[in-house]
Amino acid sequence: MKYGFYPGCSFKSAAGYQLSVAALTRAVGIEFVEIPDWNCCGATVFFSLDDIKAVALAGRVFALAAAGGFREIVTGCNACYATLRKSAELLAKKPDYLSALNRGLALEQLHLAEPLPVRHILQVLVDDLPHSAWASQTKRGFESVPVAGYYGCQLTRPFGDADDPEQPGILERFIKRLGFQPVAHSAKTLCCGASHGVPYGDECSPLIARIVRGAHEKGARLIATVCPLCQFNLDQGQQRASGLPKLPVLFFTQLAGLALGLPPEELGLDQLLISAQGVLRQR
Amino acid sequence: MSAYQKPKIGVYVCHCGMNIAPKVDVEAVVRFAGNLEHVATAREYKFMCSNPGQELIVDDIRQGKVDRVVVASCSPRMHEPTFRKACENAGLNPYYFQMTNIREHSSWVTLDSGEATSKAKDLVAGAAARVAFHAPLSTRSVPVKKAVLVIGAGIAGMQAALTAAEAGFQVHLVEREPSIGGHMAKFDKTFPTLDCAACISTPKTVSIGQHPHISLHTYAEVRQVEGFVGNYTVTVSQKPRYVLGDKCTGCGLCADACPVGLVNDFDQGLSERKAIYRAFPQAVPLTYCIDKKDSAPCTRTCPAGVNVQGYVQLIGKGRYEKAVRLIMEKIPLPGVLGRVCPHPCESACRRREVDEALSIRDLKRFAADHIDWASLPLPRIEERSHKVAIIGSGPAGLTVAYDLRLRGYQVTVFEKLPVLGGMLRIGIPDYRLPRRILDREIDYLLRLGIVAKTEQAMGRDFTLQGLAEEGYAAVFMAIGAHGGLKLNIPGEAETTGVIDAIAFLKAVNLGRTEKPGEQVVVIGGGNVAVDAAGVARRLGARKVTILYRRSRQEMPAYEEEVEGALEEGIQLSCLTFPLRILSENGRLVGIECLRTALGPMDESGRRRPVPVVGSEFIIPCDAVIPAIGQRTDAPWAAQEADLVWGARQTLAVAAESMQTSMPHVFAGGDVVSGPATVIEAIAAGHRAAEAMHRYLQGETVVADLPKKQAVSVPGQVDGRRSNEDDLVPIPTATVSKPRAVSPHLPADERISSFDEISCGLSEEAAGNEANRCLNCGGCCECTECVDVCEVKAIDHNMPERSFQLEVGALILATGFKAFDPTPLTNYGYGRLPEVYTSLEFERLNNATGPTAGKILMKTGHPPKRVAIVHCIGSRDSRYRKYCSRVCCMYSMKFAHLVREKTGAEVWEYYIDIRAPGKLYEEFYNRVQEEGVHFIRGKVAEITDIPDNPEDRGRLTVVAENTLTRRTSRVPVDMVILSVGLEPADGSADVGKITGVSRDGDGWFNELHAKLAPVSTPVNGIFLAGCCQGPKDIPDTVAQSMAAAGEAVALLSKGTVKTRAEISYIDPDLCSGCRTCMAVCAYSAIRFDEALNVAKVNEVLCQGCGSCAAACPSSAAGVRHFTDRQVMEEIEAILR
Amino acid sequence: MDDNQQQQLFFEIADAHKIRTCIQCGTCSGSCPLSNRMDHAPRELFALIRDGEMTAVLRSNSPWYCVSCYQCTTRCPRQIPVTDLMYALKRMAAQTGNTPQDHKMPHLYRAFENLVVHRGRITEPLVMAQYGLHHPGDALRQIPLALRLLKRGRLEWLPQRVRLPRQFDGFLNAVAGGRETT
Repeated sequence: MKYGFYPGCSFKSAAGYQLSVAALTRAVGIEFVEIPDWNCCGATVFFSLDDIKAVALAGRVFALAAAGGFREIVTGCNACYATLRKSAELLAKKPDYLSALNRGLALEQLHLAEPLPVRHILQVLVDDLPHSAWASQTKRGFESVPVAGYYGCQLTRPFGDADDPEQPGILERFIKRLGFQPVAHSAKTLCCGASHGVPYGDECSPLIARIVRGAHEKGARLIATVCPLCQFNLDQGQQRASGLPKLPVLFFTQLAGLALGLPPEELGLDQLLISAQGVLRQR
Repeated sequence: MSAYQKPKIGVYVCHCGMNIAPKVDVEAVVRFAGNLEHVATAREYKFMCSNPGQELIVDDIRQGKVDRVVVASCSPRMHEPTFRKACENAGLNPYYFQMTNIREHSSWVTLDSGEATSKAKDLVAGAAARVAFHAPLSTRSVPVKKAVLVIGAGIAGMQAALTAAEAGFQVHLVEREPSIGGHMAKFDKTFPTLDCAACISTPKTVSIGQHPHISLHTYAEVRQVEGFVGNYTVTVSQKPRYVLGDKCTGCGLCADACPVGLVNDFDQGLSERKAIYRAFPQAVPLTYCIDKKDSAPCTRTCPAGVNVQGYVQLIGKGRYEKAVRLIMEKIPLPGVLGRVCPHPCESACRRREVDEALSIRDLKRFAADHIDWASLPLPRIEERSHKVAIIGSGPAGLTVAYDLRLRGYQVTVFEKLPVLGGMLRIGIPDYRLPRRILDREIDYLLRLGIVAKTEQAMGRDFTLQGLAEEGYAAVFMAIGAHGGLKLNIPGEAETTGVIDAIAFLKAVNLGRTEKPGEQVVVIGGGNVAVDAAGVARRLGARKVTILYRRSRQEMPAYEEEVEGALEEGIQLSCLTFPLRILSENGRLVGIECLRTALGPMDESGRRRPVPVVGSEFIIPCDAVIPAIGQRTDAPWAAQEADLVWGARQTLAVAAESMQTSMPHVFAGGDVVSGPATVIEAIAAGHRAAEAMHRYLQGETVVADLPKKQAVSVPGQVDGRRSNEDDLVPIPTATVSKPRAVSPHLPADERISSFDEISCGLSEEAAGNEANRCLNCGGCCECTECVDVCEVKAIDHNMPERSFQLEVGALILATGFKAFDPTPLTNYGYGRLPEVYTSLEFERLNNATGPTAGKILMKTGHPPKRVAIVHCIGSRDSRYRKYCSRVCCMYSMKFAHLVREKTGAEVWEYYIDIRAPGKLYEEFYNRVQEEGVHFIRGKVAEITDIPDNPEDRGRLTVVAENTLTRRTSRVPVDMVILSVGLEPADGSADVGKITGVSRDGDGWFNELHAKLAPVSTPVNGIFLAGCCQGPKDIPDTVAQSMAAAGEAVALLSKGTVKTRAEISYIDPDLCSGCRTCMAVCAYSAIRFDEALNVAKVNEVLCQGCGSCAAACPSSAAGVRHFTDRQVMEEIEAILR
Repeated sequence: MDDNQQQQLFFEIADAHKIRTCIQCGTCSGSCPLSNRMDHAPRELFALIRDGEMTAVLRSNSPWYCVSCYQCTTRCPRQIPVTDLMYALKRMAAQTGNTPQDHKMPHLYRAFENLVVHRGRITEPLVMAQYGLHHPGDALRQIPLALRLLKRGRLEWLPQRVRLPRQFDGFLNAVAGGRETT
């Protein structure tokens, strides 16, 4: 299976995300084809400054994907996921936005008839791959490793259609499928502070602390996340906050790689600030 | 009456105060009307409906100025009756009147006064044109049935019933639940006076039970309502409660005896109850009720139809002998099946949705092994004279012998071998099915009076002919399939040391002890192959190899058996195909094989093995045991020419009845099906036994034979339950427990003896295993209750019953259901154990509740800090946009009770306090004074993540205190969600059945919020309580009395006027085609055979007009809506 | 524009009519992870808007603390799109030059916007660098972390960009050219 893949600006520098996704797709036999010449989705910034430009950014990505012959866009970043979908909604609702967009696209010999559906890598792995893709090889003794799934905000909000906005379950199902032990907890979709983490780190660290404590209280020894910014905030946030248990924060794709028995170096586990080796060895 | 007598029409235009006048230019309309044809007078007035307004009309009529009246005002729905009455008083036939609506249809629907006026003119013109062609009509009055039906027996229904009954009318009170009282029966205290709910409602429930004029129908639902105001016929269906109301004393011994524990819905799932239960001690009626769902998946899956859930529960209760007797209602050999049954029941077990299936087979074995067979009592048998012969003593034969013997027939079993049991005896090795087990159970069958003759071979020692001559009226052939299939490969025939698996197993079971060889090769992948290998190993064969041509996944043998074999050092060579038997001077030295690979699927759905060229290899061995299948062995076939054979050497029988080509001869088991499982043989036996019984009783054999029914023994539950999927829901709280496994002998001990491998479950293990059962079927029909009931009040075969009631009026009191907060995941209901709904708290606080009225957390400790969260599901456009009216008040009641009973600190999170009602604000005031914290703000979330370590294990309630503008995070022990009210489940159906419409939220529509608040658009049907909208108990009771009052008023009149606007059928035009009769919803048209025309029954006709529309010869029409009248009106409007 | 016109404008461009139905329950403010930093938490902001206190509203720092977690939006019992309204307020403030002086987010946003407009993609260190011009303290505080990230090969030095930045810029302006307002 081939997918039009939208990495987003943070994908490359996210701890082992790119590596693990590459290794994983190879292993399970699907292909993520990078959308040529993609541009930033504008994240929350452009909707805060100039929404027509925000729509333009997403619109160009849709147009490029469509030109590349793709019917949907797959991304691994919550912000990209929500922002692209938000713009798609606007484009569908406001014809004048669409025409403005196409005026610009014309300069690049591009055109967009209608926005494309957007999906998260997690949804692809869970919905498009058969159970057997994982089940056949999930006897690696990870059952004893309690993992807390952490979704962050923008995968389940504002669009509650993918899963419950507060207590989703898709990640836990995947973690279980991979042979790890999912932990039920209440911090799944609490906010990590997102981009406020840099200018307002002190204000955000209580948020991070609450998430980590929430997971730790329920016996989790790993956190599995689905978003580069979440991973970054939790990973480095635990360092600065004192008196916190240090829980390694992995991407769900890294867990999947481990479940399939891929070597840790291929999964970029060495890029985590809080190492997972201890936990994984003790299993 | 025709238009040409120059009618004198009076037109009266109403201002309706400021409703019509400012928009419609009334003067203009009057002027316009004045010039219309036939209009004698046109007048206007502020309020035509007022007395002076009506007087205008009355005077004009009396003075002879007018003989037709048009009023242009509001909706006829409101005042048509008023004006018709006025005409009547003035001596004019009320149907010489026409009303037109220039308020809703003109002034209210446009801002443009010009438009409004011109439309008003058109409407008036139409009305005037129409009224000219009106004819005088008369109504007739019919008597009403002096009885009321009340649907729903909550506080509303009970009150309405009592009031109507007190007025002296017969009342039928229909309640869906087994007992009455509704939600109020679950409450403890009621606001604002805090008097106890029981003290209010119990007297009512009691007098309902005793009132001479009230007949109570519980566990019943209304299915159909026919007829019209004053004359309704209502069909009610009543679920069986399996306990006789007139006998049950409510002693409760049955519940103590019942092994089945189910979730107690009355306690909102906070406690357990038995399958036979009563909602609460003071319940009315006090008659117990058995909660039966459809039969459990295990039971319905068993080919023999054993009541699996039943015996599992009996085992859990330690009633082993009764469990065995229950099993033996369908299976003659429980201990045997407890060992060798392929247990399809376990694959159907719903426990797998939680963890693993129950070890049902092991439980069956456990029961059979834990009773004293010698003293097992024999059932009472009523003897019959017929002699029946059974040929073959395998499972099929023994089953038929058993069934027919229980029915009193004289049964003789003929067995070729010196021992009884067929394949069970000679096909299955001792270490899987010990001889003594088979013996003990066959001995019991013989004790029943079954005669067994061994070493009697068909064709050699007897013939069918001979049996008939000896007076055997029916014969059952169950000779099995004892012949082994040949490999048909070179070397097989001429070499010694090749022995067919069945022959080998038989020999060993009959005493052979020497090993077949040192190195044994068994060929085949079935259970027989594995058994043969295991036996060879035990006889001392050094090396035993199983050859199978497909891969291990395809092996038909049970996985556990294969595993066992491997443990015993038996080797498995899959994807291997035998080519030749190799021998040196007639002595077997080895077998040449070929590797195979799996190719495409074959017809059996398994991948076909294809040989790998050049992969030949040799396995050295000195014995080869082919186990590649069996066939029937019937050397006598030729002598019995009348017996017709089917495909693959099986006997041909009629599938349903197992009857062969010879009417008195039946057959079943392997001889019919080919090699199959024990349980299938038993199932076939049951079928045949039933058919033979019918044959012997001279009935038709084939007709509707129950598929998996055994003979029913007296006193046995007939198991007439359906196999639908109405099962007990799996409790969310079910904790996963491992499946019990019976310990096995270690492999090395095994191969040195023929001792049974599986040691069976310990008593403790069996008990725990039985308790893992989810009781999918509700009641398990173990009949423990029947045994303990001293007054014999229990009847497990009670049918559902349906009956009709004749009533004049209906009162709907179907009430409400509490909103389910699960979707509001930010409040954690169902996830965080200490988050309760208000209804759960009511039970927690109720003396008859799970904690006997103590407010306790699940830990058993009282809470120190409690939060009460308002507006859950209410005032929320995502769920229910309306205010549920009662939550603020009951929440404050909760706060008071918590303070009073536990002294805990209480926080009320509210958006607005709604306390409109007598003494309500005062109650608010009181609770404030009691020190309850009121935080104005809707709770954002409830989390179990503590802000401070000392609050670990507590819940934190997060909300903005909108008055301090700060986010407050309060740690508490318990949270109560004040959930809103929704229409009760099934009110949609009640609406459909009764024709009462519902609003957007699903509440029943009242006719008019102010003029007719308890009436409905359907004449003669009234509303009481929450089914019309959320309301508290005082309002409910008041409204119920009002509804009863309306009903009583209607019935007291004694008669109701039938409609005048009904159909007529012109006998001159009627062709007698009867089309109208087919379309009439009120069966109001009968056929006059003499005149060959249809006639309308004027009492039944509702004037719907279906007949008029359907009539091909336009003989049918509706009075007051004649084509002429309608056309004139339309034309005038368009003019 | 006076407060009234501002209010009118806001109701139109933000399609904010739903806030007329706000019942001031505070679910939004209670759900907001940073409301404790806001001068007027969302509920209060809506009350002010309804009162036409637009000057106060546009000067408010609240929208700039909004992290777009959408908790308020999915929980609002009146289904008011709170987060979107925060976006609209930020846009309106930005375009009327009302952004709060003492708030850092506008600078971060501008730095981000700048890179996107000129390169089509962002590169975190470059965003930090530009942002650092306004808040050197913050930038310096990031250095130790930056080094640890560098050690783990997580610091993206090579600026990412689209193939033809100029053309991309042209595209953006062409689209924005067809703007009516925000």
